[in-house]
Amino acid sequence: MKTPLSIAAFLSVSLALAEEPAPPVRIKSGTWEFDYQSGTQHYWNDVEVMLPGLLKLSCADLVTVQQSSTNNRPDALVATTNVIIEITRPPSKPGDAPLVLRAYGDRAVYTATNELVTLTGVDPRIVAPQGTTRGRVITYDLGTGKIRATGGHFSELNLDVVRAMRRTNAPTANPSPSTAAPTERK
Amino acid sequence: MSARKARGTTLAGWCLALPLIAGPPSQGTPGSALRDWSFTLQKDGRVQARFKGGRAIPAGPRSFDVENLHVDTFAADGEAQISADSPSCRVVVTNGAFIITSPGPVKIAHADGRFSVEGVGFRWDHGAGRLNVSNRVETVARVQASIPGQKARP
Repeated sequence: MKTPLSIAAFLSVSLALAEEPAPPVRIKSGTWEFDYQSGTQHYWNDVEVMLPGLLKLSCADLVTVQQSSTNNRPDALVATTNVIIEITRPPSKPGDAPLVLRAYGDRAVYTATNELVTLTGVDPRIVAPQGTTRGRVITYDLGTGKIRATGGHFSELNLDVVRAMRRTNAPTANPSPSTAAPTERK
Repeated sequence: MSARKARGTTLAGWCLALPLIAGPPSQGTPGSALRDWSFTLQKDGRVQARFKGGRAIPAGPRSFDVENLHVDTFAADGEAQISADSPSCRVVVTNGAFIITSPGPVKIAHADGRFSVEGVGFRWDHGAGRLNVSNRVETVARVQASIPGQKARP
């Protein structure tokens, strides 16, 4: 069954994460090159990026640009060819399974200035337990967790999961703001 | 083989002294090796890099096969930049710069902690500002990562 999927369905999970030092990012690749005049690192041949428990990224080619050494934060990342990004979010309730989102595309671009990841290419999509969102351009805001799909957008909703979430999210004496948000349907 | 030392010499001094101490660089005879040496590479009065190593055997003009090399490079403002360790490599010194190559393992670290890299096979062209590791690369990046759903910490 294909049903328009509200972006709110993706967002009706708790986004709160504990404040703790960011773990090191581990990157495996066949080849690596660093241009230390431009601050560009280029990884290619079976690139795997891992932030244990939070994020995995695989692609054929990854370029990161970091010009400043004052904060260890890349200015931009560009992943190309068979890009798969797996994002794990903690469960909204203790005991629940973590929520896993998978994003697919030919090209993923991250820019630090606006905290956006933009997926493009052939059939870019984000797959979540609640459903799948497709569009010619999919933008994921790392700051807010919001997903926007434009150009030929359509979404496929997993109604079983949404029903289960609604049951789980039924009003309680002290609902959390994120899980109590209504699921919007178009 | 004699254990000769050339500590604290400049590049010019090293390049000039090496043939005198160790014989013609192109010969690479058993007696030509240096041991436990170090030198500082300077250009326009600025320190570019500091090298130290175990055995160094001349392999050609301005070219040396080096064991247990450690290199530290410095940016234009004098800040430490990149360091590398290689158990076996070839160092070619050019005008105020260097090229290091090796088919063997290498460990590299950026002084500001943004990454450390291990891999097999590398080429470091300091004049071009490029460092390439060609096989089995494992990088640990200390980035201030954006965690989805959480605003980046300042």
